Amino acid sequence: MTFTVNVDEKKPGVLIVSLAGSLDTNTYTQLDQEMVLLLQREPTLVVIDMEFLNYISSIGISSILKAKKELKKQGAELSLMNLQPQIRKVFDIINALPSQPIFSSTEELDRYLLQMQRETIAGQTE
Amino acid sequence: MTSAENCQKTIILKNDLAELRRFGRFLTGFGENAGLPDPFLQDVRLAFEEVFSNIVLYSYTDEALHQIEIRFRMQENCLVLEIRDDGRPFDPLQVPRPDLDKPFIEREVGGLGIHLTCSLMDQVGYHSDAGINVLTMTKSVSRGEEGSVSH
Repeated sequence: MTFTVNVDEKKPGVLIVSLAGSLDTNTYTQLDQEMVLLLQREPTLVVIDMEFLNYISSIGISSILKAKKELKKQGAELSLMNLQPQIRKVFDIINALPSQPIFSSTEELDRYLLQMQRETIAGQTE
Repeated sequence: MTSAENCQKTIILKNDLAELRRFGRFLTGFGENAGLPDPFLQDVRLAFEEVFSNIVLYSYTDEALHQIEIRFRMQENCLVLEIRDDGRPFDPLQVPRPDLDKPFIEREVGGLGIHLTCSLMDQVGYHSDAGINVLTMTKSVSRGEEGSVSH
Protein backbone atom coordinates (compact mmCIF):
# COMPACT_ATOMS: atom_id res chain seq x y z
CA MET A 1 0.00 0.00 0.00
CA THR A 2 2.63 2.49 -0.99
CA PHE A 3 2.15 5.58 -3.07
CA THR A 4 4.35 7.40 -5.56
CA VAL A 5 3.94 10.64 -7.50
CA ASN A 6 5.96 11.38 -10.59
CA VAL A 7 5.81 14.66 -12.53
CA ASP A 8 6.84 14.82 -16.16
CA GLU A 9 6.78 17.76 -18.54
CA LYS A 10 5.13 16.53 -21.71
CA LYS A 11 5.59 19.81 -23.50
CA PRO A 12 6.03 23.38 -22.29
CA GLY A 13 3.22 24.12 -19.85
CA VAL A 14 1.76 20.60 -19.92
CA LEU A 15 2.60 18.48 -16.90
CA ILE A 16 1.72 14.82 -16.46
CA VAL A 17 1.37 13.77 -12.84
CA SER A 18 1.53 9.98 -12.64
CA LEU A 19 0.12 8.42 -9.51
CA ALA A 20 0.80 4.84 -8.48
CA GLY A 21 -0.38 2.72 -5.57
CA SER A 22 -2.79 3.90 -2.92
CA LEU A 23 -3.94 7.52 -2.50
CA ASP A 24 -5.44 7.46 0.97
CA THR A 25 -5.47 8.92 4.48
CA ASN A 26 -1.83 8.00 4.95
CA THR A 27 -0.45 9.18 1.61
CA TYR A 28 -2.46 12.20 0.40
CA THR A 29 -0.03 14.70 1.97
CA GLN A 30 2.60 13.45 -0.49
CA LEU A 31 0.38 14.57 -3.35
CA ASP A 32 -0.41 17.87 -1.60
CA GLN A 33 3.31 18.61 -1.25
CA GLU A 34 4.01 17.73 -4.87
CA MET A 35 1.18 19.99 -5.99
CA VAL A 36 2.62 22.99 -4.10
CA LEU A 37 5.85 22.61 -6.08
CA LEU A 38 3.96 22.00 -9.29
CA LEU A 39 1.95 25.22 -8.96
CA GLN A 40 5.20 27.19 -8.87
CA ARG A 41 5.99 25.92 -12.36
CA GLU A 42 2.88 27.75 -13.61
CA PRO A 43 1.59 25.09 -15.99
CA THR A 44 -1.34 25.65 -18.35
CA LEU A 45 -2.57 22.05 -18.20
CA VAL A 46 -2.01 19.37 -15.57
CA VAL A 47 -3.05 15.82 -16.39
CA ILE A 48 -3.33 13.33 -13.54
CA ASP A 49 -2.50 9.91 -14.92
CA MET A 50 -4.09 7.19 -12.78
CA GLU A 51 -3.14 4.15 -14.79
CA PHE A 52 -1.25 2.65 -11.86
CA LEU A 53 -3.39 4.01 -9.07
CA ASN A 54 -5.29 1.09 -7.58
CA TYR A 55 -6.99 2.68 -4.58
CA ILE A 56 -8.38 6.08 -3.65
CA SER A 57 -10.36 7.28 -0.62
CA SER A 58 -12.41 10.46 -0.20
CA ILE A 59 -9.43 12.39 1.16
CA GLY A 60 -7.47 11.48 -1.98
CA ILE A 61 -10.23 12.87 -4.17
CA SER A 62 -10.34 16.03 -2.04
CA SER A 63 -6.62 16.41 -2.52
CA ILE A 64 -6.91 16.24 -6.32
CA LEU A 65 -9.84 18.64 -6.44
CA LYS A 66 -8.09 21.07 -4.10
CA ALA A 67 -5.22 21.16 -6.60
CA LYS A 68 -7.70 21.73 -9.40
CA LYS A 69 -9.08 24.75 -7.57
CA GLU A 70 -5.60 26.22 -7.04
CA LEU A 71 -4.72 25.68 -10.70
CA LYS A 72 -7.90 27.38 -11.78
CA LYS A 73 -6.87 30.48 -9.81
CA GLN A 74 -3.77 30.55 -11.99
CA GLY A 75 -5.85 30.12 -15.13
CA ALA A 76 -4.74 26.51 -15.62
CA GLU A 77 -6.77 23.35 -16.12
CA LEU A 78 -6.60 19.95 -14.48
CA SER A 79 -7.70 16.79 -16.27
CA LEU A 80 -7.77 13.13 -15.36
CA MET A 81 -6.47 10.23 -17.40
CA ASN A 82 -6.66 6.43 -17.33
CA LEU A 83 -9.16 5.98 -14.51
CA GLN A 84 -9.34 2.33 -13.52
CA PRO A 85 -12.88 1.01 -12.88
CA GLN A 86 -12.43 0.88 -9.10
CA ILE A 87 -11.18 4.48 -9.07
CA ARG A 88 -13.96 5.77 -11.33
CA LYS A 89 -16.47 4.07 -9.04
CA VAL A 90 -15.34 6.15 -6.05
CA PHE A 91 -15.49 9.39 -8.07
CA ASP A 92 -18.96 8.37 -9.27
CA ILE A 93 -20.34 7.63 -5.81
CA ILE A 94 -19.47 11.07 -4.55
CA ASN A 95 -20.26 12.64 -7.91
CA ALA A 96 -16.88 14.32 -8.09
CA LEU A 97 -15.78 13.77 -11.68
CA PRO A 98 -14.69 17.11 -13.07
CA SER A 99 -16.36 18.50 -16.17
CA GLN A 100 -13.07 18.63 -18.08
CA PRO A 101 -12.42 15.86 -20.58
CA ILE A 102 -11.16 12.61 -19.06
CA PHE A 103 -8.56 10.98 -21.27
CA SER A 104 -8.72 7.24 -21.59
CA SER A 105 -5.25 6.94 -23.07
CA THR A 106 -2.08 8.87 -23.84
CA GLU A 107 -3.07 8.85 -27.52
CA GLU A 108 -6.30 10.59 -26.67
CA LEU A 109 -4.39 13.23 -24.70
CA ASP A 110 -1.99 13.68 -27.63
CA ARG A 111 -4.89 14.26 -30.01
CA TYR A 112 -6.40 16.79 -27.60
CA LEU A 113 -3.09 18.67 -27.28
CA LEU A 114 -2.65 18.71 -31.04
CA GLN A 115 -6.15 20.08 -31.44
CA MET A 116 -5.49 22.80 -28.85
CA GLN A 117 -2.28 23.71 -30.64
CA ARG A 118 -4.11 23.99 -33.96
CA GLU A 119 -6.77 26.17 -32.39
CA THR A 120 -4.12 28.41 -30.85
CA ILE A 121 -2.32 28.80 -34.17
CA ALA A 122 -5.61 29.43 -35.96
CA GLY A 123 -6.45 32.05 -33.34
CA GLN A 124 -3.11 33.78 -33.82
CA THR A 125 -3.36 33.95 -37.62
CA GLU A 126 -6.90 35.23 -37.67
CA MET B 1 -21.82 -24.17 3.61
CA THR B 2 -18.29 -22.92 3.11
CA SER B 3 -15.72 -22.42 5.81
CA ALA B 4 -16.60 -18.74 5.57
CA GLU B 5 -19.61 -19.36 7.82
CA ASN B 6 -17.30 -20.16 10.71
CA CYS B 7 -15.02 -17.18 10.35
CA GLN B 8 -15.07 -14.88 13.31
CA LYS B 9 -12.12 -12.68 14.14
CA THR B 10 -11.28 -9.56 16.09
CA ILE B 11 -8.55 -7.00 15.59
CA ILE B 12 -7.76 -4.15 17.97
CA LEU B 13 -6.30 -1.00 16.45
CA LYS B 14 -4.78 2.05 18.12
CA ASN B 15 -6.23 5.48 17.35
CA ASP B 16 -3.51 6.08 14.78
CA LEU B 17 -4.10 6.44 11.04
CA ALA B 18 -1.04 4.32 10.33
CA GLU B 19 -3.05 1.40 11.73
CA LEU B 20 -5.01 1.34 8.45
CA ARG B 21 -2.13 -0.61 6.94
CA ARG B 22 -2.40 -3.27 9.64
CA PHE B 23 -6.15 -3.38 9.03
CA GLY B 24 -5.52 -3.86 5.30
CA ARG B 25 -3.30 -6.87 5.94
CA PHE B 26 -5.79 -8.31 8.40
CA LEU B 27 -8.65 -7.86 5.95
CA THR B 28 -6.69 -9.55 3.17
CA GLY B 29 -5.98 -12.51 5.44
CA PHE B 30 -9.60 -12.75 6.55
CA GLY B 31 -10.76 -12.47 2.96
CA GLU B 32 -8.50 -15.28 1.81
CA ASN B 33 -9.78 -17.56 4.58
CA ALA B 34 -13.39 -16.73 3.83
CA GLY B 35 -12.94 -16.84 0.05
CA LEU B 36 -13.99 -13.23 -0.50
CA PRO B 37 -13.21 -11.71 -3.91
CA ASP B 38 -10.78 -8.79 -4.28
CA PRO B 39 -13.27 -6.12 -5.49
CA PHE B 40 -15.43 -6.98 -2.48
CA LEU B 41 -12.48 -6.55 -0.12
CA GLN B 42 -11.51 -3.29 -1.79
CA ASP B 43 -14.99 -1.89 -1.12
CA VAL B 44 -14.79 -2.98 2.52
CA ARG B 45 -11.33 -1.50 2.91
CA LEU B 46 -12.55 1.85 1.63
CA ALA B 47 -15.78 1.78 3.66
CA PHE B 48 -13.69 1.07 6.75
CA GLU B 49 -11.04 3.68 6.05
CA GLU B 50 -13.68 6.39 5.90
CA VAL B 51 -15.15 5.37 9.27
CA PHE B 52 -11.82 4.76 10.97
CA SER B 53 -10.23 8.04 9.91
CA ASN B 54 -13.27 9.90 11.23
CA ILE B 55 -12.93 8.16 14.58
CA VAL B 56 -9.21 8.83 14.85
CA LEU B 57 -9.43 12.46 13.76
CA TYR B 58 -12.63 13.61 15.47
CA SER B 59 -13.78 11.18 18.13
CA TYR B 60 -11.32 11.84 20.94
CA THR B 61 -11.13 14.94 23.06
CA ASP B 62 -7.83 13.95 24.70
CA GLU B 63 -4.39 13.04 23.38
CA ALA B 64 -4.42 9.62 25.01
CA LEU B 65 -3.99 6.25 23.40
CA HIS B 66 -7.27 4.53 22.67
CA GLN B 67 -8.24 1.14 21.36
CA ILE B 68 -10.69 0.57 18.55
CA GLU B 69 -12.00 -2.94 18.32
CA ILE B 70 -13.19 -4.40 15.03
CA ARG B 71 -15.09 -7.66 15.07
CA PHE B 72 -15.39 -9.58 11.81
CA ARG B 73 -17.89 -12.32 11.16
CA MET B 74 -19.59 -14.08 8.27
CA GLN B 75 -23.33 -14.33 8.62
CA GLU B 76 -25.68 -15.72 5.96
CA ASN B 77 -23.26 -14.96 3.15
CA CYS B 78 -22.63 -11.47 4.44
CA LEU B 79 -19.52 -9.99 5.93
CA VAL B 80 -20.38 -8.11 9.11
CA LEU B 81 -17.93 -5.64 10.66
CA GLU B 82 -18.58 -4.22 14.08
CA ILE B 83 -16.44 -1.18 14.88
CA ARG B 84 -16.32 -0.28 18.58
CA ASP B 85 -14.71 2.90 19.85
CA ASP B 86 -14.72 4.68 23.22
CA GLY B 87 -14.69 8.20 21.80
CA ARG B 88 -17.35 10.80 22.42
CA PRO B 89 -20.84 9.49 21.61
CA PHE B 90 -21.30 10.07 17.90
CA ASP B 91 -23.66 8.61 15.33
CA PRO B 92 -22.16 9.27 11.88
CA LEU B 93 -25.48 8.36 10.26
CA GLN B 94 -26.93 11.58 11.68
CA VAL B 95 -24.49 13.72 9.70
CA PRO B 96 -26.43 15.52 6.93
CA ARG B 97 -25.91 13.98 3.52
CA PRO B 98 -23.62 16.02 1.28
CA ASP B 99 -25.28 17.93 -1.54
CA LEU B 100 -24.00 15.80 -4.39
CA ASP B 101 -25.47 18.13 -7.02
CA LYS B 102 -23.15 20.94 -6.02
CA PRO B 103 -19.71 21.04 -7.62
CA PHE B 104 -17.42 19.11 -5.31
CA ILE B 105 -15.28 22.06 -4.33
CA GLU B 106 -18.26 24.18 -3.24
CA ARG B 107 -19.72 21.53 -0.96
CA GLU B 108 -19.78 21.72 2.82
CA VAL B 109 -16.94 19.78 4.38
CA GLY B 110 -18.00 16.51 5.96
CA GLY B 111 -20.47 13.76 5.32
CA LEU B 112 -18.62 12.49 2.29
CA GLY B 113 -16.88 9.64 4.04
CA ILE B 114 -20.02 8.18 5.61
CA HIS B 115 -21.84 8.58 2.29
CA LEU B 116 -19.13 6.47 0.64
CA THR B 117 -19.34 3.90 3.42
CA CYS B 118 -23.12 3.60 3.09
CA SER B 119 -22.86 3.30 -0.71
CA LEU B 120 -20.23 0.60 -0.60
CA MET B 121 -21.89 -1.50 2.10
CA ASP B 122 -25.42 -2.94 2.06
CA GLN B 123 -26.30 -1.88 5.57
CA VAL B 124 -24.76 0.46 8.11
CA GLY B 125 -26.19 0.86 11.61
CA TYR B 126 -25.19 2.65 14.78
CA HIS B 127 -25.92 2.03 18.42
CA SER B 128 -24.34 2.90 21.72
CA ASP B 129 -23.36 0.01 23.99
CA ALA B 130 -22.68 1.21 27.55
CA GLY B 131 -20.93 4.34 26.32
CA ILE B 132 -19.14 2.57 23.46
CA ASN B 133 -19.95 3.67 19.91
CA VAL B 134 -20.81 0.62 17.83
CA LEU B 135 -21.02 0.95 14.06
CA THR B 136 -22.12 -2.21 12.26
CA MET B 137 -21.50 -2.54 8.53
CA THR B 138 -22.81 -5.42 6.45
CA LYS B 139 -22.07 -6.40 2.89
CA SER B 140 -23.47 -9.37 1.03
CA VAL B 141 -20.92 -11.42 -0.85
CA SER B 142 -23.01 -12.00 -3.97
CA ARG B 143 -23.59 -8.26 -4.31
CA GLY B 144 -19.87 -7.61 -4.11
CA GLU B 145 -19.14 -10.25 -6.75
CA GLU B 146 -21.49 -8.57 -9.15
CA GLY B 147 -19.59 -5.37 -8.50
CA SER B 148 -22.74 -3.31 -8.40
CA VAL B 149 -22.97 0.07 -6.74
CA SER B 150 -26.03 1.59 -5.16
CA HIS B 151 -26.41 5.33 -5.36
